[in-house]
Amino acid sequence: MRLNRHAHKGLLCLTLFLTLSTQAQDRLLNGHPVSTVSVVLSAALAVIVFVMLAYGTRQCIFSLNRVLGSHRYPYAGIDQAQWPLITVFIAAHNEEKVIASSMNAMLASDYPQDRMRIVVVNDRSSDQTAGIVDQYVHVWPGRIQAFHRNSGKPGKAAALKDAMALAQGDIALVFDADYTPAPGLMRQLVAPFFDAEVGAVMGRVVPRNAGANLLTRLLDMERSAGYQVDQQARMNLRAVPQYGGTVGGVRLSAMASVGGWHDHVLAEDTDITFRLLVAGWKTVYNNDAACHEEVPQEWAVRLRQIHRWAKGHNQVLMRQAWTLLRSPFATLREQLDGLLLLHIFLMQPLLLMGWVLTMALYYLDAAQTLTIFVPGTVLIACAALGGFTAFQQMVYAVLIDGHRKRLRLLPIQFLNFMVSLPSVSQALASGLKDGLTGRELVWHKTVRYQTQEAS
Amino acid sequence: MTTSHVLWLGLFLAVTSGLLLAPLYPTWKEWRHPQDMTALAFPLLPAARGPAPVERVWLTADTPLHQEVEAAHSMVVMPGSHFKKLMAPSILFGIDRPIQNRDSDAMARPSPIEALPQAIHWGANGWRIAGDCRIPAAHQLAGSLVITGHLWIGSDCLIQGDIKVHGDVSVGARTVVSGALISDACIDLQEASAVHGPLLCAGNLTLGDMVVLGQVGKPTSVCADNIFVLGTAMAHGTVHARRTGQLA
Repeated sequence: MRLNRHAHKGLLCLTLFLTLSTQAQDRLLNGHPVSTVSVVLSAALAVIVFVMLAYGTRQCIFSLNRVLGSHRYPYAGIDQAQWPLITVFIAAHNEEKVIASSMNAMLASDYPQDRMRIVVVNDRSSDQTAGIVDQYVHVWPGRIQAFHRNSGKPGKAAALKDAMALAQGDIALVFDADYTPAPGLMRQLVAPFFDAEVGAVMGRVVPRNAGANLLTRLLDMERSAGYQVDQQARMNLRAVPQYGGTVGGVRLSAMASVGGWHDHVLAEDTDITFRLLVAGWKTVYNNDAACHEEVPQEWAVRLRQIHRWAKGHNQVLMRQAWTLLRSPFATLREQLDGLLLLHIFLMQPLLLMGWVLTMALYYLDAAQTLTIFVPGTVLIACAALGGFTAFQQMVYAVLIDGHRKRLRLLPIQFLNFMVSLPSVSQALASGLKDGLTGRELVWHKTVRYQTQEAS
Repeated sequence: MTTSHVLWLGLFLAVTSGLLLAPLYPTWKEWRHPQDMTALAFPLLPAARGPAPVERVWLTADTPLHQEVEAAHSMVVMPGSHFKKLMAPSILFGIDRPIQNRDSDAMARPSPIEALPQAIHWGANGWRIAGDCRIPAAHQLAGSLVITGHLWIGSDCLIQGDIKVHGDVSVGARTVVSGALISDACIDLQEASAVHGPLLCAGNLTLGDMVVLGQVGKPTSVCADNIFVLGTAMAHGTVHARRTGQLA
């Protein structure tokens, strides 16, 4: 039924486009002069081209930094210290397949046992999650604590907000239930907090199920680019590394000083990054603090995930962009990179709009306008540059990781890009609609695939 | 259109399609017959250590420069020595005379600082100053400090918290910092000063005579580009010079 409705909409749009195109062609053949509409559309296209070029340049700089620049991580030298008391939160919602593995991995950490508390945030699970967690609490009293949440606002941000009352110490590390950290990961994530200016720390996320199917292999390359090149380059360049909400942690006193946890945002990680940045706190990225996660194995799940990310990210854009510009603490570089980062999920809708504008201009006043702005050529050039720089990031990331052969799949990334294009664009439209109608954002959980390991 | 035209057209299309699709053959092959589809591996367990370190190590001016030297109990670094990374519960630079660990609890109580000029509250119990900061001698400050300029701490001070400085840091004689000290530039620790927490700097670290880093039974990490030890000093834990370390 839903598909039929979309199909009807699509047919309607196509009919409208063809009608307008035919009319425009008639105008062109009859020698009508350049219209104001064409000039406006050309100007809009020029802006899009400029923005796309700016992002392409940014991606190029990041890629070159990873190839030619030095790796900056000033806290690598901290291997011995009086480690602070920390609380590790595991966010769980119907995680019976993975929660045991996650708790096993946490218990195997080499972080001093008397300095680490584990709190499993069981948010309204309807499967066996609660029972599994309670078994662990029984076996490991004092080390694992259960926070069973049976009511309240749904979503990870809301659940974590409620669970923070159980935090001990000033540092909270957050993991999703499908994450299995290596024994040394906690120390790696905690070390930067000795820096009094650091408000959040982010580690690297690596797909565990990379080889499951074509989609996971594509997402594996995408994740590599995002962390190995993008995040690390931002760390190297003293720009804005992003806290990702998992495989990372926050300083609770810093969080308190910027208003605490917000449960009405879809992308609470991005929201935290920018609220901390605006208040002068730094987010640190540690590429060596890596942890396995699951990536979606089905296109439908993937599309829902990226839709949620895009919508949440755009929500933060609306809330934080102006505040960031007025921040007395953020450097000019942080402001610039922060703004570009905030607008990142607008790029795909913009590219789509650029294509539509190019077609519209061609059919409206091809000869005159095209010779003034040459928008088609420039758009193709910048789309190619923008596209290539994103793929270039993947190439460098995969090469740095030492997996040369999987680069052969690079052309299929175009498919991934094209599939996510409408989803991200729809997220923008949906976010605008929600903003206008005042509808509350809905959080969707990502499906898990892993089978449970024995405790 | 004649048959020959159709044949030529067909041949042209076939060759063109072949030329366009040929570069995608490796893609198709990797998709259908994967050779590289394993998850990225990273060490899940700590790297296996070599043989157990010896109890005591002496480094002299003649000792070859090693990337890493470890002792299970103590290490003595003689004048003229160069080093990169040293690890031991107790590392003594120079052997002129014994060094007393400076315990902040045992210090004479300096005057508490009520407020720092131009400081704003930072986090739960800290201060942030945009620009340079001078802490006068014989004063005590409880809480963390973030300084975006340079920092000068006078002698006989007690700082109970972590310090982060974007510029250079100078720590006065007999001053104790109970937390971490991190600088994006250089750090100069004057005689008999002590830092209990991790000590990191992006530039040069200079240790004056009788400086103590870390505490007995509470090891810490010290890391800088270059480390210069100007007299007798003591460290507990790890001392890592990314380029070179030397004892005058």
